[in-house]
Amino acid sequence: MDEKDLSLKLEVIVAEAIQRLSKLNNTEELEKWRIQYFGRKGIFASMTSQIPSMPVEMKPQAGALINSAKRKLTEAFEERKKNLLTLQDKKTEFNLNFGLPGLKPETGSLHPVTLVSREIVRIFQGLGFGVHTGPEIETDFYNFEALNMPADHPARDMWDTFYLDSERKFLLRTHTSPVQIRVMEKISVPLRIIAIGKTFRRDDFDASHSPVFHQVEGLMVGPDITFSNLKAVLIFFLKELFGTRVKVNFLPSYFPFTEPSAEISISCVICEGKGCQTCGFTGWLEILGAGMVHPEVFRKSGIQQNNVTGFAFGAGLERIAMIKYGIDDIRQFYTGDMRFLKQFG
Amino acid sequence: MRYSIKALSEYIRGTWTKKDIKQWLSMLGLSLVFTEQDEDVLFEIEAPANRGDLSSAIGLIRALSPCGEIEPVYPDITIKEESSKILPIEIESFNDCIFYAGRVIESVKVTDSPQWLKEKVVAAGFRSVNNVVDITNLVFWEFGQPLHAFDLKCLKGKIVVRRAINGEQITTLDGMKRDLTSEVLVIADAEKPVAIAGIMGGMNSEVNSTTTDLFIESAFFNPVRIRRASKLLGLVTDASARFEKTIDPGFVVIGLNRCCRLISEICGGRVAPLCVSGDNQAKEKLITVRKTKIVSYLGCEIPEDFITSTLKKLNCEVHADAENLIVKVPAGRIDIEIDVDIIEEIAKYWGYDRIPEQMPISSIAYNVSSQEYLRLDALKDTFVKLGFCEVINLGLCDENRKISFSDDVIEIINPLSRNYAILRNSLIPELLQNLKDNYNRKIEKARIFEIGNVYFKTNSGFTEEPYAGAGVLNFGSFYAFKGNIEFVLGKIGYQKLVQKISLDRFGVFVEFLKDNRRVALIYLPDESILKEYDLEQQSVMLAEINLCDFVKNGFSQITYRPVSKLMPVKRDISLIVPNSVCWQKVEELIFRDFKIVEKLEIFDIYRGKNIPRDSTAVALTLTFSNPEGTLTRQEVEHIVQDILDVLKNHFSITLRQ
Repeated sequence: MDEKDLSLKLEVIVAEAIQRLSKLNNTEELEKWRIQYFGRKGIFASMTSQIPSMPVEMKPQAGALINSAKRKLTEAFEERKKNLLTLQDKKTEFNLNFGLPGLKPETGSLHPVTLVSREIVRIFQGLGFGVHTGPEIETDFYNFEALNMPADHPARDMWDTFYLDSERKFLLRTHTSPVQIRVMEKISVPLRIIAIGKTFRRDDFDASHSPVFHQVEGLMVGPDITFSNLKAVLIFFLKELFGTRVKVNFLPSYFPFTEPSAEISISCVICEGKGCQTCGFTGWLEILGAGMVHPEVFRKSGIQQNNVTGFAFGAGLERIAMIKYGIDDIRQFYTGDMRFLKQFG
Repeated sequence: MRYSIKALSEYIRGTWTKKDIKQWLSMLGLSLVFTEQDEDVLFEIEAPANRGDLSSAIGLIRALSPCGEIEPVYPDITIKEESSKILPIEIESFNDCIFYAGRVIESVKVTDSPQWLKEKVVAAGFRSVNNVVDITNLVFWEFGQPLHAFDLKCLKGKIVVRRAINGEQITTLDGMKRDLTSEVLVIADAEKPVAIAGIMGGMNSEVNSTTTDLFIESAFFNPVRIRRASKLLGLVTDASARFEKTIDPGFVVIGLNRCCRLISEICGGRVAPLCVSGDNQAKEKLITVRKTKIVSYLGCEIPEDFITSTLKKLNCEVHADAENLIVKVPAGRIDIEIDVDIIEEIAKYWGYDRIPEQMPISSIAYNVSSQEYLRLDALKDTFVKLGFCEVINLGLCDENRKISFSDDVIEIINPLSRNYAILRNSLIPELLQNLKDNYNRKIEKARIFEIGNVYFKTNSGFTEEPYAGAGVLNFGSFYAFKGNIEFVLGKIGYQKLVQKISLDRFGVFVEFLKDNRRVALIYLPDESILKEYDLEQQSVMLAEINLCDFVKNGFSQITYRPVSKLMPVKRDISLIVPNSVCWQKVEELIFRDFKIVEKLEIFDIYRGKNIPRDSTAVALTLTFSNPEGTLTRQEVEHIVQDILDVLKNHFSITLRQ
């Protein structure tokens, strides 16, 4: 290596070092850079250590060239160091402690009954069901009579009712089933709808009862709708709602407005069917009432076609929310307690 | 009704195991509570309203018989008639009492029951009284036929089944004196009522240890008559519950005979001939079921021999032709009336779990939803966006209202309690209660909203209207809250509403009017009201919006205006505004007369030091945009000056120096 080679080599080293210097992000990287060039085992140290093995005439010149390069880089280093602040400097500059938690945003939230409603609407809209409503103040006709419960029918005892007048004509609906009648009066067959809303029963408060709660009602009517259609739709619904792992069980039941009637349970989502407090050690949770629409209900709704059949179902939204979120007391839904509500935000 | 495997065993031919019965009952969907006791299994059945037949040992075994190789066996009902005593029976209306049967038994000895009988009736869920009463209860348990024993010496001359006379009284076996009305059917003798028909006997004819001669009653009363009387008197008994579900007419005489047989066996006595009145023709029903309908209704094929054998075990007669099944149903099965009832029986015994699932095939329908629900649901997001938390309140309010904005209120005629006796006609009271409850739980800041119905009386009845309500506790200024409410109003299509400020004993109201009709209000409770809610010295504001227009019309249309390509020019000005000025009018005037003003935003409102008491300082930013070109500094100064002049002339608004 002659003088020229050395000078060229140093020039490259300096150019490269300055280039890298400009890309450093912080003082830690700067220190690494310094050690790489000026450290005991750094580039300049190794170059200096080669001087003794050089030809005698080159030695002074080589020393001078190396020193000059070192000087250049030292200047550049000092300059960069001035601009590159430490994290500590930044903290001081903004007067911040970056490690402390942020302030909690003041967000709004939806009620768990709304969350469950939306989930249900989403599932059924996906199957082409429409969403309908009916009044909360109902008449005896829609709440009972049209649902195949004429006056003095013993099945009326299944629904303890709030009445609004002494003739007992007006009442607070005890279920969303009256919407079935109202929809069939209004819309032509085939139809498939759900209805969500408030319902009222003269039940005292306890952990699983409330005089006011919400229901979802479903109705599908068309030519030759079958019991096996009912099973398929409700199994799909429950698996969408609670996950594909739940098992669904259909057992006979009694409602005056469906025939055959079914009570539908899912395998307990807490214990997966092994038996626990939540499911009363049965492994099953009752979740839906359903059945094939009773011909009398069609007649009362003005539907007369012969081959028209249908299925209907109903479920309590609070109960679904309690199972889904593990809420153990239905009264929680109506306390307006922010500690409860905010958890669903 | 309570049963056990042991108790049922003497009424069964065939065998079953503990496992069988659990599985069968569960497959038939009979709600039950199981307890295992030694070798026995005890269970209880709550029969559905149309399945009175399950409330008896024989009926239950009949219902279970298609599940396995069992069938019911009747106990001994043969009797020897050794007396000739007859009691005449008169029925006032065969509509109220379809059939009435009875027998006299002479010379009985009324004592405690033998141990085996005591054990049987207690296991069936009754209290042991004496041998005669225990026997009537046992037969009720066996056949589901309610029976009643009278002390014959207390009956004068005859039995009359009639309506009570208004004002008549009877002391029932529970010791209660009861006032009767003509809605109540009674059993009377020639002089007085001796029992409330189908519900409870009278004290005046009670069987006790001095009784020697009995009259045993077994009848078929009109279920509606019994139900009405039971409701009216507030008296529900095992007998009334059974009668109102319609008894099996086939068991009226059988039950009576069984009872008399047991009495003569256990209590001694000579049984007299049957006295009857009314029609006991069992009304069997003939139902035709199309075979294809079974398939098209259930969605699967069920073998015909399974169907036939099941129905036969249920005591039906079945005749099949090529297309139909013609089924003769026993009178006791009041739940089976039409073809789909038969289909249900078939499905139940086949097992719901064996019916395959198949998704329905249906055409896609147009416009399937009513917008009302979806709109109300979507509006919740607007409030959440503003940071409000959704609450849902019952809508049932306290009779004694602390605040009320209207006396038009619906009362529940049978409320749970006075606390839940009226229907809300405003969302505000419950929202205020929510804020109070939170404050009591040491939650000092809250923003809540609710979307729900409120209820009013109308000339023809009752009505309900959807409302949105909001409440804040220690959360921002009045202007911030009002801004939120105005934001929502804007979203739901209320652009320019007239505002009216008023004050009453409950506090201050800002009402928003459309065509002189109030569509929304902001309510600032008076300190005295806040005190009643334990919220004194707290910042509390509430609002509610009537959503009737919104559910009809929906959200405001989004109308896009092209964004100006020119740099906007902004000027901040600060004004002294007299409090009498309606700010809405100010904005209207500026936008009308100065088309160049694109936006007007208030960024500060101040009252107090250096501001006249009857005025407010309002700082605002005016944004100008001129489609014709960039505005010069001087042009802007001119326009601002013009605006200030107009404001001064029209509203006495001055520039704050």
